[in-house]
Amino acid sequence: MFRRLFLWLMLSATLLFSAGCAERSKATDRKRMAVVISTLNNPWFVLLAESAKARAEELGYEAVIFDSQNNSSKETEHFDNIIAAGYGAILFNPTDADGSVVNVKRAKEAEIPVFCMDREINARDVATCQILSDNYSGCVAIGKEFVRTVGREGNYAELLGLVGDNNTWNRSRGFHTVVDRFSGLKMVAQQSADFDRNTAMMVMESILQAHGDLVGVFCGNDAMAMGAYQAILAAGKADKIKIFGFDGERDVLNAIRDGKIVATGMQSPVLMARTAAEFAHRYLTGDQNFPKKIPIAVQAVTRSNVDQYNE
Amino acid sequence: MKKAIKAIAWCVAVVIILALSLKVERLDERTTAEFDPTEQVEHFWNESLPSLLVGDRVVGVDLFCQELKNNRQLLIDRYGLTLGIGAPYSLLVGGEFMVAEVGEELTTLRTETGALFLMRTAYIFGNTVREASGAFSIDDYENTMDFNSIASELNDRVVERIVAPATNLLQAGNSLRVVGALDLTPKGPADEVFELIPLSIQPCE
Repeated sequence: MFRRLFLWLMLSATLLFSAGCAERSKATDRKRMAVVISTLNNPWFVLLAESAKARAEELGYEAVIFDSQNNSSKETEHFDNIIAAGYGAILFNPTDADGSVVNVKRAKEAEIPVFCMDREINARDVATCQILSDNYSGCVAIGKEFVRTVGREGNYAELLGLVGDNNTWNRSRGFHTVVDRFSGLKMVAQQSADFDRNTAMMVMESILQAHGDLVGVFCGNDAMAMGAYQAILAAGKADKIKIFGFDGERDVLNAIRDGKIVATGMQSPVLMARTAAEFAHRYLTGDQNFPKKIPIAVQAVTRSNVDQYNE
Repeated sequence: MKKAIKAIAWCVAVVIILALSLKVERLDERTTAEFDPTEQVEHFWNESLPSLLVGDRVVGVDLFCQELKNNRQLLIDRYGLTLGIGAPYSLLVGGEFMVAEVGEELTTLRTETGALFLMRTAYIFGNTVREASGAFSIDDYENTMDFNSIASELNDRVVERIVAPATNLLQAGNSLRVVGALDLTPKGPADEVFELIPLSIQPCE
């Protein structure tokens, strides 16, 4: 009787011990990094994702890219899977400044560090570090270029990105900090085109129907600038309406060289992605002391300096 | 008849529910964040700025010009403050200048040794003043929009409280003691002409 009881106890203890070990090894599977990206339907974000993955792999980690398709629920599903699979760190490009906070909180509770790339979340103490483009300063520079190019008078339009993304508003604010000082410059249309080229083309077409006298359009990213250019070209106003973008995509750099687009803000997706992967590596190897936010400078690119940005 | 009334009642109910569940917000109002930078900037302006302008964070203009030729990195290491990666270093420079030329946005200042500075007196943008002050940290703000509104508020104050009261001093030939903020990059020509954002403009005794 006692022998049987002893055997049962031993068996239970062994099972509990192995379960504990499995749980621990799951929680400390530090050789894998998850790269969660808001959308892979935009070459800029593809570059961000691939650069993060490549740097993580160089540092000896297995890295997997998850596409949130600009959908917060999809992003939550990814976080569920990443937490369940016990990844060591998350290199994260959020879909929404407010909506993504809860996902980062859950990862933190699961003791998985999260390093935000490019897009910010509206919380200070949740992500381990946020590596962000200095969108505001970049768009201050674009705003100055706008006034220099179109002058101090005229009607203009603005195409905003995703309304829930802080980058959208930081860019818009940076631009308006400058342009709003010139009372002769009047914004006659401000519409969201979700950072999307096709949407921007449609939005611009409708703006042009109501406002044919624009002197310029400021677009919150380069994809929208290219969409706006297509609409403006089709309306036969390419020589009258000056277009400004933001991101530093190759298409737009070529368009700046060709005089189709006036300026863009050169972000550094590769630098942001590599920094995030390197910080995650530092964290996983014992250094857990990071600033909460690190802005990365954005340079204004115009025809006068575009050749510095060859490939 | 009864069916029609029922259908209308349903439609009205659905419309009411939809109307109550939607919050329509103008895009331009969406940019107006709740954060108000005025209190923090006012505190800095009254409590910290006066001592900052006479403290050892200010590099004398002659030393600045000398080290610009000899050791730019020393200026950056000793006096420069920067935000994140890749941004210029912002620092405070002060000394005596003669007004060489007065423009709409920029006033040209000349030092005794002949170095030129462009003092910005209108359309002040960017983070130079905020960063040079060293008084504000990005980590203290919920989001970068709030942090950026500090920079904007500081720039506005420079125009209102520093430049406007000194307008009568800005005449060619006048000697002024100016302390201001400027941006310095690690690489640049030795004869670079810097834009100086004034934080104090006083007549020389």
